[in-house]
Amino acid sequence: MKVKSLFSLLLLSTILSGCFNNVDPLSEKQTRLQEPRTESGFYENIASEVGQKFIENVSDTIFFEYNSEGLTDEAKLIIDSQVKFIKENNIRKIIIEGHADERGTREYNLALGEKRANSVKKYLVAKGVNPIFIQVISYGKERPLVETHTESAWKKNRRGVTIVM
Amino acid sequence: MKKLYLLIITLCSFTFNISHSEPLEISITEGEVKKTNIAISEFYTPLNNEKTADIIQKINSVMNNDLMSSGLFQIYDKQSFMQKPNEMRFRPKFADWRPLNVEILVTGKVIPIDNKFKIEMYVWDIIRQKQIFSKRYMIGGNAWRRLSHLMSDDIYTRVTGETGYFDSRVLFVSEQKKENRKLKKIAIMDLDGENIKYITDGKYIALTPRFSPDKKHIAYMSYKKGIPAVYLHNIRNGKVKFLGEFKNMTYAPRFSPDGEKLIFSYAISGRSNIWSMDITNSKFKQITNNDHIDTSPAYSPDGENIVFTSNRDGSPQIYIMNLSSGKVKRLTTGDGSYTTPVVSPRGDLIAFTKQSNGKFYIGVMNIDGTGERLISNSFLDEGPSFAPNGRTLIFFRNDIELGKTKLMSIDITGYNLREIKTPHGASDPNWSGLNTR
Repeated sequence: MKVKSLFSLLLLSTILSGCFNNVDPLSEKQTRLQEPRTESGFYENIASEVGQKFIENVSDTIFFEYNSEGLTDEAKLIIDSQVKFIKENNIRKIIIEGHADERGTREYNLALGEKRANSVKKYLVAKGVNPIFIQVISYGKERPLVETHTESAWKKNRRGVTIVM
Repeated sequence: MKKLYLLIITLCSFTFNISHSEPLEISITEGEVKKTNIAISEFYTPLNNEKTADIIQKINSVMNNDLMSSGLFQIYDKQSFMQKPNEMRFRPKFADWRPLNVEILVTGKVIPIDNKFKIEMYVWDIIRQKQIFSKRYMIGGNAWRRLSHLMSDDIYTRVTGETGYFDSRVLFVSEQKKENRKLKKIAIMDLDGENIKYITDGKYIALTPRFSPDKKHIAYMSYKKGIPAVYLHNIRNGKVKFLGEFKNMTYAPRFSPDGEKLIFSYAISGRSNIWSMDITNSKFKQITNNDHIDTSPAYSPDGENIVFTSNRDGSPQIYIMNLSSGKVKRLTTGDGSYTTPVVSPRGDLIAFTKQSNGKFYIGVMNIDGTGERLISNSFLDEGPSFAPNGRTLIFFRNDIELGKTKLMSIDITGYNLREIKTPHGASDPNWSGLNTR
């Protein structure tokens, strides 16, 4: 049932957007669906419909400064939009991943990742999300998004990822 | 395998001519070390037996490799040996060996008896023309590898005055690239990279394994439950126990020197503190209690203190806490971050990872925090672990050019840096205590 409605939605949007521009939106959506979520550890195979909708409509990732778990203003704006989605869609299960870059030792980075995930959680709770719905998990430096060894890679790896189900 | 190990019976030590003169002095506290020239002959066997001949060659190969890898011995090339094994079966011709600058000669005898082997080793001081010591062993056929390490240890101990460390095992995380992922499995191996056994199957990430002092258990952290949790694994029967009923992240486990406690970190709501658990009665105790990151705890060998990393003063530094009084003292004061502290089995030194100016270093310092010395550095060197004799360290290095993480060993003086080869990438090494002691 779900697959049918999803399919017809996609078909409809294809037809509609085909009328308006040359870029095939269906292929774009397909790319997003197939994007490997390398950081999602054991959640890899859970691609819920609302989870996909979340990724498409809102940014699921915020970034941190080196050795810090503080939320930048930009991060707060992103989380604000996450809160909006969560409330509008009545989300009751949220997982927040905390990650660190490789410029730290293994155990310390696990702790740092945990602090980062909790920073996001605390902000979500402060904005009215029920803490019972939120689980945090730290991946330390174990699941980098970008595996090269440059400053720009490290920036992208110091992140908090929000996953909704 | 365990049964075969038990077949090693070291009989009483026969020393014919106890040398009264001063032992060869090898100083292993300075940067430059004069190596001892040693020649290890293949042991002699009176019987023309293929299996015996095979074992003799293998023993010779392992012993040569052990002593060479210590960095303290110059192994003399077998090709230019002056005498054959059978010519030396009673006593070497010292005069033949002197011109070659060989200082120590090792000879021996292997006699197969039923399914076992009787092995005698003789160690000679060529310069003083005397026997340093000899020893007799009895083993089952498959225990030759372990015996080789024991004999290397005996030579090392008698010649250097320091305890040998070749008869030991290394616990580590094997990192195998599979498609897009890195399979991280807990593994054990002999120090020379042989005899690898895998403890976990890589389905879930497993990290930071540690031996129990009796080597019967391993503690490690795994993502099996979804969030990081500490597990106790019985090596003998393969039973795995999840540590307590913690709903939040537990990690960084270590055993106490008496094997009765496990110390670890517990992180909840952004606070990471150190806890300990009594393994005998499963009772927990919170050791640190603050809002900062306290982790990587390690016991001193007398079990009285723990060293750990904390960022309570801003950046990660190393602290020491007396477990009875609860008093905490900061040990590191230099520029940079200090993490992963471990205390030498001798209780005299602390080894650690330091980050400064974009580089990673392995360092050592005295137990009171003075005398900091950085002994290695690279893009990423991390996680030192002491050898049982407290004089060598093992750590892991991310070689970004090769795209591989590998295990390295180094003397605490900074001397003799070498790679310990593993079939795949490797990290998080932990050195066991000696097998027999």
